[in-house]
Amino acid sequence: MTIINFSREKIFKDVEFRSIKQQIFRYSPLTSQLLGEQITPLVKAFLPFAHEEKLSFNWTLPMHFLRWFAQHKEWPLTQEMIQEWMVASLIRWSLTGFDHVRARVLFVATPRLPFQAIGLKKGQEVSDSDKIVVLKLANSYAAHQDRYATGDEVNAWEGLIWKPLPH
Amino acid sequence: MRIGINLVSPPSVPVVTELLNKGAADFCEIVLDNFIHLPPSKVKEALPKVPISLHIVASRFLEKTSQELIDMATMVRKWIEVCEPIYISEHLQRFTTNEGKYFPLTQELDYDIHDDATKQRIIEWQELLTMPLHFENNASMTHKTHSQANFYQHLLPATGSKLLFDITNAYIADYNQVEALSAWQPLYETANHFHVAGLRFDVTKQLAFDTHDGPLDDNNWKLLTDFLPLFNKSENTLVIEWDAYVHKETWQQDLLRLRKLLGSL
Repeated sequence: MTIINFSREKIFKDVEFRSIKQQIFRYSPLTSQLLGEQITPLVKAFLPFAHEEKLSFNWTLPMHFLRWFAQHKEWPLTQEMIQEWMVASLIRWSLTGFDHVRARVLFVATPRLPFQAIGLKKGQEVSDSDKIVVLKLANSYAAHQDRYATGDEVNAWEGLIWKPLPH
Repeated sequence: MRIGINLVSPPSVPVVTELLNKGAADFCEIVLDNFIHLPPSKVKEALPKVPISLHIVASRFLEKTSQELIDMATMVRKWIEVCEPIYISEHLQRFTTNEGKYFPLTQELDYDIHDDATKQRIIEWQELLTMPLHFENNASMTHKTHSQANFYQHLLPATGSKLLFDITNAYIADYNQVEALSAWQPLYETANHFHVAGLRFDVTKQLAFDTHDGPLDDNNWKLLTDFLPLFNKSENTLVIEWDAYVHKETWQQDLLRLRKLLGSL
């Protein structure tokens, strides 16, 4: 075995950064297309905020990126972008089945889209793919902060207990 | 030796079912993370009479509370009872820092530390599951993880767990100049369950990556030609893993080639 003369640490820093970028943008194709080459500087600008807020970088990361992005009024924020980042968080959640072994539904809501919650329903059969669903929220349920709710039953629309989105 | 294919997620069900029905593979290794919310009877309905093994990718069992472990085990035990798996396999990795922040990429353990907490947690998880676990070796990429085989050699007998020897992962660690494949010899000689999968190379960076997104390459076939005479026993299994960009015909060709290779031994 010979010793390699280059810095693997530098390579891995790069790979880690690309992983964070993927976590935010992999499931948001329209937004990625719209932001194009701005994505890398945007993620770099987001990271100090993420560390200051002590974000856990779990499934909620795209939603927190949305919250940070929305603070910058100079950048365009469309309904499609909001929905895509919400869905990106849902998809990331669905990939961590052992963190919520009984949950079959997750909803997220944000003040950026106060009268809509977007949810992911897990399949009921082995060959069923997950489904994205949109829930209209009445005025009294409008989102005043980023929040989420899980359910054990696929059709548990009612009685969802909303909680603030964790960091 | 029984040949297996892995079922990663619902979209792969039609391909996996067809390959099993055609007899291209003998059993199915289910990535439980993506099916754990379902009653296990649903899998038995979809794959009747197919022998099953269970593979866990990200339970994070080293990082969870005892209550969370009990909740996970309650669900997994249902699968064990219904599926009577050939084996159940797991990963030894860290997903979060001590403060609960997720690493951008999963981390291997510090193999120079042989701590009792890890051993006790493995024993606790196995007792809850009522089955010994087969831990898969990682595709090491950094020099910090140069002593994985030695770590496993101490850990497995101390915990009553076993090795799931991923031939490709050991090759990747060797290619990446982290740990020689030969370091695993005392362990793979007594292993019963094996993986092999597609990989990719970044020639500029002199790195190999475990990708599971393509067919077996020449390196894999050379490894199989070298190792199968040793591994080919009736009680043993080998899964050809394919997770992303699954291509049915190519997977079938690999399975057929593997069966021919086994038949020629």
